[in-house]
Amino acid sequence: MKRPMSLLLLLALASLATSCAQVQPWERGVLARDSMALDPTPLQSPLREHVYQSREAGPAGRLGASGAGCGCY
Amino acid sequence: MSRPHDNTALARCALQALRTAALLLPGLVPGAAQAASADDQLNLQFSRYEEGQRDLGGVPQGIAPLTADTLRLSGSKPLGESNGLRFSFSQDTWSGATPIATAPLAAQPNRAVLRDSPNGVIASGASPYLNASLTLDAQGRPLVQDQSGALRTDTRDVLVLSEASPELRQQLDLGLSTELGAFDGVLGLSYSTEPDYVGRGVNAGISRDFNRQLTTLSFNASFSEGLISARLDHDALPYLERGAWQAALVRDATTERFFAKRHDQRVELGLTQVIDASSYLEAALGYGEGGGYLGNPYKAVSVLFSAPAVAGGTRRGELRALLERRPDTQQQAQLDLHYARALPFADGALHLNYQYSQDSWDLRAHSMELRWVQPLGAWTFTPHLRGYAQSEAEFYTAHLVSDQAWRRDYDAALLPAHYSSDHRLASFGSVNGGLTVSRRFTNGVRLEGSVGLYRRRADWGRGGDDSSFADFRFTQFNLGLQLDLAARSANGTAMNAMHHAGHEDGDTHQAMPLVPAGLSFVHARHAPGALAFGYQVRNQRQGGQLHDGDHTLDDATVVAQGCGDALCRFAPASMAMQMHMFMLTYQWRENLSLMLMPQYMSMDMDLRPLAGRPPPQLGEHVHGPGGHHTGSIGDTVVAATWQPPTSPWQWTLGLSLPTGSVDLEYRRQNRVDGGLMHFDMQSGSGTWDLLPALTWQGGAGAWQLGAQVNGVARFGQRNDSGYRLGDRWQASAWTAHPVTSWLAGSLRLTHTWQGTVDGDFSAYNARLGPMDYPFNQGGRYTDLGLGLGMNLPGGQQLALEWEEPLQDDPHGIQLERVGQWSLSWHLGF
Repeated sequence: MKRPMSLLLLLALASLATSCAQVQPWERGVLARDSMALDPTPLQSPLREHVYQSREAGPAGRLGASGAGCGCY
Repeated sequence: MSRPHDNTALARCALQALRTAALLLPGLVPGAAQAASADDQLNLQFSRYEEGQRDLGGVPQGIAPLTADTLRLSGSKPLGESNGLRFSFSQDTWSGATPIATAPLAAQPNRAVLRDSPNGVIASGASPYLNASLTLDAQGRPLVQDQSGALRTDTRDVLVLSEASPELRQQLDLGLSTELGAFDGVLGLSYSTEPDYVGRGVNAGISRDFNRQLTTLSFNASFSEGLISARLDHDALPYLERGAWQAALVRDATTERFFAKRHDQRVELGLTQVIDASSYLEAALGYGEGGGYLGNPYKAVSVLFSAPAVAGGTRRGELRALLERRPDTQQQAQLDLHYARALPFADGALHLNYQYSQDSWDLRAHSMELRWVQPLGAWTFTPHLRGYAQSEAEFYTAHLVSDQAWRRDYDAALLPAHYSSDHRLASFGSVNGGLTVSRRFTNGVRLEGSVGLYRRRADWGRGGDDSSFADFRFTQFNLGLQLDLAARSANGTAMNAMHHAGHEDGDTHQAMPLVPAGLSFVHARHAPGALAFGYQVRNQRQGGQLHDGDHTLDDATVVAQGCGDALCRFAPASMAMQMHMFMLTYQWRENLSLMLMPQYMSMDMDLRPLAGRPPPQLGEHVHGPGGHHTGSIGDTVVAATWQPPTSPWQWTLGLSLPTGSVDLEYRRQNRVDGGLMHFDMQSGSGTWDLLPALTWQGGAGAWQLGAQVNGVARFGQRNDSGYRLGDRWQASAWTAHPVTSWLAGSLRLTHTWQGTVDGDFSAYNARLGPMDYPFNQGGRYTDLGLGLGMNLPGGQQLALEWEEPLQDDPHGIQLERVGQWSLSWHLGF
C-alpha cells in the first residue's frame, strides 16, 4: 500500500474518535446486543477463514485468526 | 462521565442494566486481544468441506473430489475477575483430488486409467504424468492435429490432479488474557502437527479503552515457524525434476523427503470506535513478513524445453516438471474495516467487512462481506454474501517455455528466477454466500448450523493470465453446539436437583455415583425437559507380537498361515483407534430419556514387511515404511433409555445409523489403485445395527456397585463394500469407592465377545496381511479397568479409566492388545 494513502487513512480513522457522538452509558444497550458483537458468528468464522486461507492468496482474516499450521489441502 | 445517583429501586434496576451494557463494550476490541474477561463457554463443532469435480479437458477425474472433515472443540473460562483462558483444539482429515501442476492440454498430462467393463474398455479415472514430447509453433505454442490432419495451435491448459491420501492434522491454541492496569493483554500459543508439517506459534496483544470506552486501541504481534518434511509423491518421482533442490531432499526406502523451514511474523494496529448509539467501526492495519521456504513441495511447474525454431518453423518441445520456486521472502500489508449498524427493527444488525491486502509478490486482494444478523425469538438467522478478487503473483505462470533443448543439466539461468503454477496465485475472483441458523435453548445451550456455497471464476479476477481451467466450486457445512456454562450455573440445573435429592446444596461434591469412563449408555436421570451433554474419548491401542491366542507367532508362520491360501507380505506393527463420542440427552418423560450420539473416528496403523514374504508382483500395492491415517465422522447412535424413578435398572435400546465410511481407500501409486483400507481403518460399519443395553446400579455402604450387558446386533444386509462386521456382546461388573469427598476410584471387570466379519471386500483390497482377511477379526477378550472419577462443581463429572487386557482369545491371527484408556465428561443443563 502506498504510504501516503496509509497515513491519510490513519488520520481519518483517528479523527473518528473526536468527531463521533458521545454515547452515554445508558445509550449503549443497542451496541451491547449479541447481533452487534464484533464477530456475530464466532463459531463459523475460524472454520471459514481456514478454508479461505487454503484456497486464496489473501490473508483471510485478522491476525492470529489461524495460528500456526499448514492444513494445505 | 457523570454518574447518576438515585436510591429508587427503578433507578437501581436501570443502572444495573446500563452497567451491564457498558461492561460489554470493553469487549469491542479486535481479534487476538479480546477483553481480559472471558465467557465461561464450551463449543463443539463439526464441519465438512466438499469440492466439486474439476474440468480435466475431457478426461474423467476418477479421483473423488477433495473432502475435509473438521472437528473443533473450543472454549473459554474466566480465571478470577480479571483473567481469562481460551483454548481450541481442531482436527482435520482430508482426502481426494488435489492439483499438483498445470500443463498444456495437448500434452495430455492426465492420462486416462482404463478398466474393463461390460461395455468394453472405459476410462475410469486420470493419473498424472508430466513427461511428453510436443510439436510447437515458433512462439512455443503447442500444435495439435485436427480431424483433417492439419496442425493448429492449442493454447489450452489443464490442471494436473493427484490424489491426497487421508491426512490428519491437529492444532491446539491456548490464550491467556489478563488486565494490566488500564490495559488488557493477551498471550497465545499454538501448535499444529500433520504428517508433513509441524507448526508452532506465539502471539501477544495489548489494548486500551479511551474516550469513556467509546474508543479502543490495540496492538498485536505474532511469530510462527513451520517445519516441513514432505514426502514427495511416489508417482511423481519418475518425471519430477528436482535437481535444484538436492540440498533439501533426503531419500528413504521408497521415496524422497523434502525438508525445509519457514517463519512468519506479523504486527497489527487496531482501532474500534463507537460512532453513535447504533453503530461502530473497526479498523486495523497489519504488516507481515515471511521468510524461508514459502513454497509448496507438492506443486510442480511444467516447462516446455525447446530449442528456438529456425525461420519461423515448427519445433519439438519436451515437457518436464520442475518443483515450483517462490521467493524466500514475502512482505504483506493489509487493511481491515468492519462497520456494524443496528437495524431499527427486531434487534437485527448489518455487518460490512472489507479487506485489502498487497504484498511483495505483487498480489493484491480485495474482499467484501455483508452479514445480516436477525434474531427472531430464540432463533437467529445470519445470511452472508462475500465477494473476493485477487491479481496474480508476478511469478505465476500456467506453464513455462524455455528456449533450450531439454537436458537433465538444463541451464537454470534461462528460466525465470521464480515460478509457480499454483492456481491460488493466479488472478481470479470468487463469490460465496450462505446462511447460519442458530437456536437458543434454556440454560445456555445453543445449536448452530450453517451452509455455504463458494464459486471461483478466473474472469472475476483483477487481471492476468486466464486461469479458467482451475475454476471450481465447494460447499461447506458446519454444525455447532455452544454451552454457556455461566448461564447454566446462574440458572441452576435440573440435573443437580435430580442427582442430589436430599442434599441442600446442588453443587455439593458428593453422592454422584461414579460411572467408569469406558462405559456407554449409563447416564444420570434428569428432570423432564432437561438436557445433558457428555463427551467420551476412547483410545484403543494394539502393538507388540502377532498371536493366535495361545502363542506368539514368528514371521514365517504369519506368512504361511495368516492369509488363507495366499502368502502374507505385511503385518501391522501397531494400531491405534480413537473414538470421540458426543452425547446429547433429552429427558423426555420422567421414565424416558432420548439420546443422540454422533461419533468422530480416527485411526492409525503402522505396517512392517514380514521376514520371508514373497517377492512383490507387478501391479502390487507398494508399501513403504510408516503408516496410514484415516479419520472421519463415524456412525451415529440414537437411543432411548427407560428407567422407573425408584428402579436400579436402566433399559436402553439404541440404533446405530451408518453415517461412517466403509469405502476409505489408499491413494493410487504407480498407477496402481491402493484399494480399500483394512476393516479396522474404516470409520463405520456400513450397516444399521441394534444396540441393546441393560444396566444395574446399586450400593452397599460406601461401595457403589454396577453391572451392564450391552451388545451390537448387526441385523442388516452386508454393507456397500461387501461385508458385515461381527456382532459384539459385552458384560461388565464394577465397583467404586470414595477416596476423598470429591474423588472416587473404580475397578471393573469386562468380558467381550466379538464375532468374525461376515462376507468380504467386494471391491479391490490389496490383501497385504492378516488384517485384510475376515477370519482374522474378532475374538473373546477379558479386561480389568482401573478408574478415577471426580465430581466437579456444577454437577459435572470427569472420569478416567485404563483397561488392561487380562486375556486375549482372538479369531485367527491378530496383533496383541496394549490396552485402552477412556475419558468421559458429563454435564447436565
